[in-house]
Amino acid sequence: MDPKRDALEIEILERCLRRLEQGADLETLLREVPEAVPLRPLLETALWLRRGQEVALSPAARRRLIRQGQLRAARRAAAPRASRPVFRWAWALVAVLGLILVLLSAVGAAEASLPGEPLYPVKRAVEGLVTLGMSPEERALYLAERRWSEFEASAARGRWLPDLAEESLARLEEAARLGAEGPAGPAARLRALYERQGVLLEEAAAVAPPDVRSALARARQRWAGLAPVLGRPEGGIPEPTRSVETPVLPEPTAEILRERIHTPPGLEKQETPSAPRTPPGQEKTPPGQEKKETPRPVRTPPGQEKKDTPGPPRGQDSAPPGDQGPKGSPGR
Amino acid sequence: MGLLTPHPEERRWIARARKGDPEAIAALYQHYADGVYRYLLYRVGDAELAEDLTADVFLKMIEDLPRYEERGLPFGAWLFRIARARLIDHWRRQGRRPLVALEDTETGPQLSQDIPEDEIAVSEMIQRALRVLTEEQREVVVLRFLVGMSLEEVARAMGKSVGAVKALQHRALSALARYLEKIR
Repeated sequence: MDPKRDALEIEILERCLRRLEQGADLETLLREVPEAVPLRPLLETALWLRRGQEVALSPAARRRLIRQGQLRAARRAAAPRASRPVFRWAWALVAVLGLILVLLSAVGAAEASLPGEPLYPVKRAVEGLVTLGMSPEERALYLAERRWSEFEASAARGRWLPDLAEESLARLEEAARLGAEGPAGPAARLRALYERQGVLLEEAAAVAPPDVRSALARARQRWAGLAPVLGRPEGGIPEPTRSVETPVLPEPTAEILRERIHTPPGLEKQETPSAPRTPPGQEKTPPGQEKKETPRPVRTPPGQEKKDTPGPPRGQDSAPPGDQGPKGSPGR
Repeated sequence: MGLLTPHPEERRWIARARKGDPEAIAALYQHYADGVYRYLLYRVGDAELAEDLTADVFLKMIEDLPRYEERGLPFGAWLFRIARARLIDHWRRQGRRPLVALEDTETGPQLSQDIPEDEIAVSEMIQRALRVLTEEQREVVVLRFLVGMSLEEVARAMGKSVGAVKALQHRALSALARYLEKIR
């Protein structure tokens, strides 16, 4: 068969079928469209097929179907709203949002928690997630600051937790070794933290209860041992001043202790060392003058003061670790 | 009346049927049940089975009615989609198409006892004739001439071009005409 003739015949057939659908009479149509005459058998077949549209459901079957449908609709309308899919989704959404809210509240509350408290594990777990995207040195510094803030906060409540101090020192060392260097940012934070640690560890020796004093003294020794690590010549972390002629720390007054220890957790990170606490090695004063001009003492690692210091008024610096300082109670 | 011909009251029926109004449900059934039934009857060749499938289609319609408007389809087209899905599901469960080849049957299609005799005669004849067609030709003939869809609606329902449906329709009518000529 000729494809062109075929295509033409298909078009003529469709035109005629539309006319028949609109109610045209076949004979009239064939008179008007003579080229459709060869298609007469096909058009007659189409008309015959249309008789099939007269087939319908029997009245009984129709009634049965309608009754079934009405019953189903009635049951559906009477069903509890919550059982409908849209309400189930709404409840699920509310439940999920509620869960998220509870989790966020728990995370918020956990942020202020301290070791031994129920939410502390949550805090540590969140920390694990938060630090996932950090570089190793940033992570170590972040954790060192966090542990130290906790140590300070618990000390302010009269709980001395040497494990926290040890962990903070370990993280600080890790951060320094990993190269948290540079004029600003991590290096400055390292120095600030090192300063904070020195202040409190020294004071701890005086006020911590006897049962933890030796552990705190070990922590202080470790702190002192970090000086070379932090004072690498190529790095931005200078060694803390170890001047033998540095005046020894005066006995901390109750006010000083309160001021230092009661620093709210979380604020310490932003805190820059106060003027008297110039970071070790950063003093820009001319050589030879710094000792006289330094208004505050620089903490000296234990064991180094004995030979060079004329005589500490407190006496605890020269005492063996664990026996240092007066047997004061936390008193806070 | 074709399966896809909307009734002027249709929107109101749908809104009321959603709330379980029995009259609105009856109205939707009255308007569309025959078209759905016819489609299923000529595709499965068994009146009782076609009735059961029609019942399933309308029950599914009631279940899905709350979601209907989101689909943006004419109601008849939406209902036809349910019918087609139900039919395919039925065939899948059967593992085969129920319509057997013409030479495999001597009894012809099974029709309901409730249908008038002259309708049975026409319906039986058509059922037998449809068996000379290929599956695609049969679908085109059922949708276009027995359900009453337009050429464009058939093309959309089958996922084919209008040209392809025209060609299928031409070949189907030619085959049926030859068959009818032979048996007369």
